[in-house]
Amino acid sequence: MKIRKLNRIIHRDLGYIFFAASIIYGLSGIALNHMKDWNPNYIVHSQKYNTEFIDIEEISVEEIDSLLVSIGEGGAYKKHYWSGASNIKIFINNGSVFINTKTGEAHLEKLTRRPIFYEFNFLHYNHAKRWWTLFADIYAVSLIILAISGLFIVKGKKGIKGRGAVLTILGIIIPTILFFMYA
Amino acid sequence: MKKLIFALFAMALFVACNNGTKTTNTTDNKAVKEECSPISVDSFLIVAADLVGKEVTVMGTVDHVCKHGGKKAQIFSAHPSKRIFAFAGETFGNFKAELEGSSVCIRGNVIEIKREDDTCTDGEISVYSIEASEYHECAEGCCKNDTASACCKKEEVEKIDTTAKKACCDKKETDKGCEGKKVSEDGCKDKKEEAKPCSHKH
Repeated sequence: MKIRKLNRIIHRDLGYIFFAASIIYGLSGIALNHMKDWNPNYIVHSQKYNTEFIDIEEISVEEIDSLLVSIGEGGAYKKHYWSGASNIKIFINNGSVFINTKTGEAHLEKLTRRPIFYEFNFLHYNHAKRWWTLFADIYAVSLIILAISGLFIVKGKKGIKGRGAVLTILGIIIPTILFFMYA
Repeated sequence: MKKLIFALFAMALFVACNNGTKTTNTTDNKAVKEECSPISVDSFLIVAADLVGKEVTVMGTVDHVCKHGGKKAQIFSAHPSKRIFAFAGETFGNFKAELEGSSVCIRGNVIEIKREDDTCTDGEISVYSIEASEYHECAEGCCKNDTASACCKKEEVEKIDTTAKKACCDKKETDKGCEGKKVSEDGCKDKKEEAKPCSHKH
């Protein structure tokens, strides 16, 4: 078998196998690049309510339960504590409620996992460990093979001896310049 | 097609062999863990300066997890105003945001952080923190009986608890770590926060 044909087969098959992994890393890569602009893992729902808990000294679990039922979080109570003299923090499943006892205002913060992105980021960060580490290592090696084999897919003017050379050099120069600009 | 099947088989065999080595390491880690016991955040704060660089397990309630990356969590025990940071270590990556309000045991090395690094804090927090190597959720108070979750040797925990209690009781209400506390025969009790304890629903 000719080397060029083998090269094409390797490039093609690795492309098929790692199509999904490339989407996972690509999409979560964009998401994680912009972590300052948004939360890529969770959607935070905020809602304010007025309560009758004004100038109170004590609050019972039963009273908290009633409050949670009234805001649609019945049965979600985990625990609570007083933060200073006039703030109560109530932990609920996947969120919390802050009550300002000076104004009676309650602030509900509820978390939901961002679909697709949470799962992709979980894998991108390698929180899974174990088998995913191995898979990601194989993928990383395969990316190098894909990159090198990709250089030799096309012959002629549009190949590595012509247009391909120009674009490849451009691809090397851009990260090099950016490195020296910011490093 | 035969070549493809052979390649996949070889890959599966490699994966299987590699996984076998990991199992041995996990068993070793468990053996180390079984020698240890956790301490509360309050005890930790009093003796933390002497524990820098050492490994401990701290138990407490998760007050806050940084939502963006889950790299940091704030933990407290009996006194919500006294909190520490736990930083997620390489071994597990991040703390899940859903942990807020849950009791956890966190094992790791004690480190001292700079104030300007406190990007996620919104209250009083110690400069002494835990660089966590592992954590797990537990029911309220279960950690003390759960030796599998431990990290300090039992005699070390007793020493830490005794030191913390002594430091608190000796200096009475003037000590920074004992604000609002009075001394009783049972040890140090809190005046204010006993009236408004953190509740836990089962």
